[in-house]
Amino acid sequence: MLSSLLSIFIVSALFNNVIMAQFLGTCPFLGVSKSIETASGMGLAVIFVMVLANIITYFVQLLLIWAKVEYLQTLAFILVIAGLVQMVEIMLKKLSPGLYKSLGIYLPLITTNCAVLGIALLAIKKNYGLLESVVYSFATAFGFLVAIVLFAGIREQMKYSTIPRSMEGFPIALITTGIMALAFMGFAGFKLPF
Amino acid sequence: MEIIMSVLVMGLIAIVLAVALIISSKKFHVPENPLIEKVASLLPQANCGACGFPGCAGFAKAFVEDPVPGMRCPVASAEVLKAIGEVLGTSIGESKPMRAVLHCNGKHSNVQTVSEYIGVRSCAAANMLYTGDKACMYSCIGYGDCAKVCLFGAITMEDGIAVFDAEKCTGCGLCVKECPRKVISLVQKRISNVRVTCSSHDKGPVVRKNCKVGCIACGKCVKVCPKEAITVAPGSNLARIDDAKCILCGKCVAECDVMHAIAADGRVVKAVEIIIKKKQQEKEEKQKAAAMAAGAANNPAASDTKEVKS
Repeated sequence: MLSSLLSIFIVSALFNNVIMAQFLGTCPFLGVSKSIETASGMGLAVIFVMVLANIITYFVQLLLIWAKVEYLQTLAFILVIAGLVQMVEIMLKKLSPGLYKSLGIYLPLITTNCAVLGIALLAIKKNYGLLESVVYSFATAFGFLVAIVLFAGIREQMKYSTIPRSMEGFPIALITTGIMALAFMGFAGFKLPF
Repeated sequence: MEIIMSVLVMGLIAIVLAVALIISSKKFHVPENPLIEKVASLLPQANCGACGFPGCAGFAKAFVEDPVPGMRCPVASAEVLKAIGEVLGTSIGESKPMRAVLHCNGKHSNVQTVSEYIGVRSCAAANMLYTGDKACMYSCIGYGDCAKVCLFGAITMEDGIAVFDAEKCTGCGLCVKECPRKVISLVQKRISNVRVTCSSHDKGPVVRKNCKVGCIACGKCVKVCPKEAITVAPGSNLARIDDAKCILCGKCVAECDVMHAIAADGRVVKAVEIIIKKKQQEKEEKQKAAAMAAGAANNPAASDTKEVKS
């Protein structure tokens, strides 16, 4: 049981990294990665939202199965996630104004973050139980945090290097992402010892 | 049955979420300064970002919470600023409304066309490829990057140059930033405007070759200006009018009668017409006087003119 949870964690945090291997959630990845501070804030917000969304969508899915309207899955999940993000935003505004300010427009953007919806749908597709799906979503969001913080570190360094004018800004950011994804591909083919 | 069920399920989810949201918004309510909303509603709501803040709401928040001297909405009219001042109980210093003008008159009829540009119809792209299709490398390229970026529809492209609608222009300066050739600048919004419609730093003969209406830096306008508002910076080969010093007398426009590189709009145009008429009259009188003098000397007119010419 424990080893299977651990394997879920490692596989979804590193091997199947949400950004580097699945290319989900690229918008906040590029948008909020200008400094390590905001990047880690965004990563933590994604962990929070993703785990919460997965727990709730697990029960929403049960409700849908009970009512025999599984085809409403996508619609219902989007609704739930959007409402959830709104709530997180309201709470953050009160509880942590600093984080709220530094996340700025990107917090509402989590609403349309395809990673959150994608992971919720994938967890259902993989037939995960509640505990497994919580671990799965936490690991995926953790992978997002790792990727975005690494990327923000590189971008902070890039500020001081001379980049060809036509490459400044997003072009070089996208190329960097591609090279990072290549590095993450190195995990492919590993066999877990357990 | 299935339809009823799906409606019920989705409705249930929506209601639960709505109730949760209402409760959390009440419980975690953050009291905000009500003035911010009032100020934001007075602002133009163009969200152009010319003030340096993300949108009008961002500006309103910063303006209410910690105003910095000199901070203002470059787009808002004087009445709007006054109204905001009334809301805040302070007077906002007099702001000078600005407008954008083009320092080029490189219409296709005026400037030589040397090449055919085939590519993305964008000034920025054409600028990377040397000069666009015009001979002058300082000219308005005329593919309308400024018109595309203008939020107020104040710029139209006519005959290869940008034409600015002084009424619609709010002076936000987005076009100034966008122009790759830097031929647009902001000036005070007054009854009219006098400007040098050329940005060429080429030397006189080169300008003449490329363009019918370029500034050749002859310096006649500098001499005629009563306020010393016009300068030709050494090495720049270009006259420039200091908008703050200019009193809109129109003398320079009349003086620049060879290349017509200084343009005026609005009410000055009439003043210029009067000055030109006067000049013509003076010229005619001088000619008459010269003819009279020639007559008095009892010399045949033909030989007299020959002498003058030689």
